[in-house]
Amino acid sequence: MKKFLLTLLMVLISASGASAAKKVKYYNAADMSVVCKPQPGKDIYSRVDAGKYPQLSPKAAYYLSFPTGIAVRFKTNSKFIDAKWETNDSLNHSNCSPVAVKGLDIYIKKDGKWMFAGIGKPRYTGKKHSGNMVANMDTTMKECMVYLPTFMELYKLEIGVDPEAKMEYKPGYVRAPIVAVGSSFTHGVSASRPGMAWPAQLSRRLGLDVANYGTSGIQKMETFYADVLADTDADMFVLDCFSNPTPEEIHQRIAPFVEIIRRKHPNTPLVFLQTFTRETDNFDLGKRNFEAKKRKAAEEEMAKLMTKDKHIYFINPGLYAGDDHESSADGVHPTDMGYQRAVLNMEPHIRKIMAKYGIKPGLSAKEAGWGKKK
Amino acid sequence: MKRIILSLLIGASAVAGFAADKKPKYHDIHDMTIVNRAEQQGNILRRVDVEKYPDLSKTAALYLSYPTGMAVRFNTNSDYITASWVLKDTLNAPNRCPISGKGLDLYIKKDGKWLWAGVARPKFTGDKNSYKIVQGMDRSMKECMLYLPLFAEVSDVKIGVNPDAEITYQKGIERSPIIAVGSSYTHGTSTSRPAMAWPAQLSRRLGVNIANIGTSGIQKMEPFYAHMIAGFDTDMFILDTFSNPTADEIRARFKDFVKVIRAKHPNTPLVFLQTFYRESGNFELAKRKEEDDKRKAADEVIAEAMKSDKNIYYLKPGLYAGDDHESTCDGTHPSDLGYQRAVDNIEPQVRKLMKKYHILSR
Repeated sequence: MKKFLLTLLMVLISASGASAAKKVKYYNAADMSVVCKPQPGKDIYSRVDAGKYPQLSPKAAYYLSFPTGIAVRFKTNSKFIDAKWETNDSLNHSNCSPVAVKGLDIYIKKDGKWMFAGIGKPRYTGKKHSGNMVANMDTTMKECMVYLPTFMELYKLEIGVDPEAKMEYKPGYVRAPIVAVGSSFTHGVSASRPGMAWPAQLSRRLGLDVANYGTSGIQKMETFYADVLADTDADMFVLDCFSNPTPEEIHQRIAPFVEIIRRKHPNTPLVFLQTFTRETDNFDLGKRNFEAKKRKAAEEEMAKLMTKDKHIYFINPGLYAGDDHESSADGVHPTDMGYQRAVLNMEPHIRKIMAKYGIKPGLSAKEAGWGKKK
Repeated sequence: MKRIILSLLIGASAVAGFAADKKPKYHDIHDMTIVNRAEQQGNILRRVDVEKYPDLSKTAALYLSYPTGMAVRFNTNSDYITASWVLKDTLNAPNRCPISGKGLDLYIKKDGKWLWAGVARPKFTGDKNSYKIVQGMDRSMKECMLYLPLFAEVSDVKIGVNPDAEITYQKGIERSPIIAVGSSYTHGTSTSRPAMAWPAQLSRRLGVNIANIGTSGIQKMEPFYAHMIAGFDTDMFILDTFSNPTADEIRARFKDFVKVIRAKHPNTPLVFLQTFYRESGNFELAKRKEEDDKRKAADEVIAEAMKSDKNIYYLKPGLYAGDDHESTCDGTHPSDLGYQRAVDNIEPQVRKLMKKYHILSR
């Protein structure tokens, strides 16, 4: 009961920001531009349409029904932006902030770059959420992007603005030139909010849409994943495929995995990322040994493939989260600190490969990000 | 139903780690060494014996009943370490990882430095918890430090080790030469795990115990805080007291706040931290103005105080979380990314002051 009262209090406090007299007009986000979605489809808030690939494992199909990495874009001159949304409530985890799992994350363009503007705070438990994301803005026209939840099905989303304000959007799917594939590290487990998974961070730094096929814990280069990738229209794939499989699975599966993708994408660059160092290795000798074997298996297989396929690349270290041993939430999954380090490590490599293939970034390395370069 | 099955599965996989071992032998932390507590006497499961301070506000008393910032030390050569703990009245919030609010966080000393070893993950909801923190270790004797939750009252905290292993500890509460006082930023809101609040990070880097008297959202330099803090035995206070009050409150309360502390601590260095930049001010004009006003008020009262008190210091920027606008979870509270940047900024300045006041590392 006490807990309930506290929750109630918190809801009331967060709601009080929206004063009693405030009028809000809501727009269905499903009608807006959808970016960073890996493939078009009728399920706007899913990465992959339900039932499209019957060969998917039930868990992979379930995870791919989340809107991970996807964002909606619109323009408004409203002083405030609210949201009402409905999610599932089945996958709460103690190693993730609920904001990342089932919340929203809004960026607004400023001087040609995306800048953090606010979040849509979800309830700790529960399916229906609502709240103000940003308030008290000036009334210039602004380009807005709202990242959707990373780890929960999204059933409905409405964006609320001042009824007097302009609201513009172009409906439809926007193709993402780069598609990321991977484990929980790509999915964004333990990020503080949806916009901090590495594909989203990289996307903002490049000024180019990057879609996210990360499926936590289960990306083991099964052929069904290769089928989905082969069927995905992209100019580059960035692959975190050495995090979830065992060394044996890496040896057995990578060649057929690449072969299936290559049938449809003969020359598309496949940029593989070496897996990350697990902080659980600090003292757990068994895990340390296991992870070292995985890395070795990945290195061996990459070396073999690269001798015959000149469009395969290997970034090693790839998912590099620093060496101070402080960047992980739970021994496996990085916090935002680790994710940012990984992005800063891979970005220059990716830019080079992009240049080689004529994939143009929207922002140069110099323009990327905010703040003074150290 | 699906939820139950999933939780069951998660529970089952966590337990599976135990299957091969004999049952762990549990030791109550009451017999162990407690560090990073503001007072050397009292209930070791709480930061402060709140009943000693009847004029605390209700929320302050509740928050100060959490073991925020505190850690327990022991030595063992067990190949695994597990913990069981009970939570009471947990303040669940969507803007942080539950591990930091109600989980445990273990460091082990290696080559003279604390190295992260593992966390005890709490249930997403539920009071009774147990978790295997680390396993598969070599059998050398190790110095361990287990941080307690930031945002929950705890009871019945026990550490489990291999029954064949040695475990040694000394009962007692160590003195904290530095005490951090402040807002949610000090309390550690939106950290990923307990040891990532800035006082804990700074403490590991300096090799000095630092107690955490951060109380999220409510540190407004009220007299009850000043009276309580004045009674603490320490060599340095680091104060994040310009984050929660309004500009007017800063002007109205600062002088008396310092005066009350000075009555008991005439020469103890008071190191004030300028408040942080709120990312919610990126587009919110009113918020930006309010924050600018607060910073200005803080600059003024500090300048005035430093004229007559040579043991007052001001770190500005103080709680500096970088300028890439990517370091918060929710527009106010930094993620670990922001907290580490703040520590990078504070550390060299605090080191200088420690030297000046002869405050020694362990």
